[in-house]
Amino acid sequence: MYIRPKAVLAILALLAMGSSLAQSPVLKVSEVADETELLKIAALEALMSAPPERALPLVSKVLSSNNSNEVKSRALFVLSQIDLPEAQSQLLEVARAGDSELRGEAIRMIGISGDAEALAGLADLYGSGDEEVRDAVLEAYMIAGDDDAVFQIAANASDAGEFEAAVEMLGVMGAQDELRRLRESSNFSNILIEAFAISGDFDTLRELALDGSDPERQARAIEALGIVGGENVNTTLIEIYRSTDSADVKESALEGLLISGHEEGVLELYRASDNAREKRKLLEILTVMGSDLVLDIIDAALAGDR
Amino acid sequence: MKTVLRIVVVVVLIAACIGSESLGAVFDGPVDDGWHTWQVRAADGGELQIYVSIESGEPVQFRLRSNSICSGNFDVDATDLGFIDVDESIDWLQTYIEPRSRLGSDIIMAISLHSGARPVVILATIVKTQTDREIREEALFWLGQSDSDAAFDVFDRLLSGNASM
Repeated sequence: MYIRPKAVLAILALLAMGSSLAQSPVLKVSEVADETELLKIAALEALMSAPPERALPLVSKVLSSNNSNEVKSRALFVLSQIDLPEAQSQLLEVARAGDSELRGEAIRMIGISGDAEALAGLADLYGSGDEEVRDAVLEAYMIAGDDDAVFQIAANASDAGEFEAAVEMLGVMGAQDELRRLRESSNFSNILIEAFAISGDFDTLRELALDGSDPERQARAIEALGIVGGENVNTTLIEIYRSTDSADVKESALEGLLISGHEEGVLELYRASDNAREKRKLLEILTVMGSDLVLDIIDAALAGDR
Repeated sequence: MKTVLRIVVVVVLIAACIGSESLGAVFDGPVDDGWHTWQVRAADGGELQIYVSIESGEPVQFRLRSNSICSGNFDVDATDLGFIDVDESIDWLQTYIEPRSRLGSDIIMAISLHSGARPVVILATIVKTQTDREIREEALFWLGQSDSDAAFDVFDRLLSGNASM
């Protein structure tokens, strides 16, 4: 076998480079930097339980100095835990004029602090901010549990995207009263149905599911009931399935049962049906559900054959 | 006259010994297996009662009780070593701050609860010199609990990025 000396030299050079990189002083410096950062973060966390008037100047200094965003983010969190008006003012200041990454963080920290005055200050920021700022403000309101602030944003939304983001947030917050108020407004949209489902509002969804004036909305509401789940939902979905002649409504009810995982209900419908096509559909649903009840049906069918 | 003076000196010395907190004896720390306890002047102005369980000559458990802290169950049969000088108590505790020791956190807490300026100096030294991150973080936490200028000077230097502290 012919060995090329140049190739051997190149391999040796690469190996040598690898070992020198492993011992590179640059690597060591970065490790030290990491350690210093970690220590700074630990120091900031320790300041959370320190007297606030002592901690505040130190945290402020970190924010105004040349530190990484990770260290500054931690400083913002500590600031949110300092029960002094100056701390909230500083958070708002960063939220208004800080580096873009830190702005979002500062906004969320205002949510964590739950300070009413600072939260009120976020409304202006929402109005003048870009999408990132708006999302952060919604998150801050969610963290603070400020249902009304999110409702105001949804009610006064200037476009569908803004409305949807606020409604979704209300759903996550479980703000059923606010969502019902929005339903009464002219801004009603399908996103509200999803939000009703996420917030677990069975009563409103049931009402929409039984209202056949808007078939598309009705279908969405029936399916959304499945997300809410529970005994009441299962009973309602079976009722809807049985009481309708509409194939679309039946389809939606089955989707709802599939989502809620009500196997026994589907089996009950299967047993009650004398329509072969319907039986096949119900069997398909049970199979998709991964239900062992399919085996019962097979056993019964085999026993019947015998 | 000389005899009278000698008697006076002896009386004064005895009184001084009786008045001293550790009765003049050097505190070597508990050695025998089992629970031991002693008291020191606490940072909160009251007394700090330290309980330590020794096994094979080494501390294996700490419990602390003062006006501001109460860690663990104190329903143990402990040998009472009496009221000990703060420095002596700290000296003994300090020998057991090691990363290898799972008691590092307990010991740092115990030291930080002693009265005087020395706990802050020790905590600052731990932050500066210890390689074990958990121990350093523990020391930082207790520095944050101190209201002393020296403690916040440590934070200031650390957060200003002064590597030499």
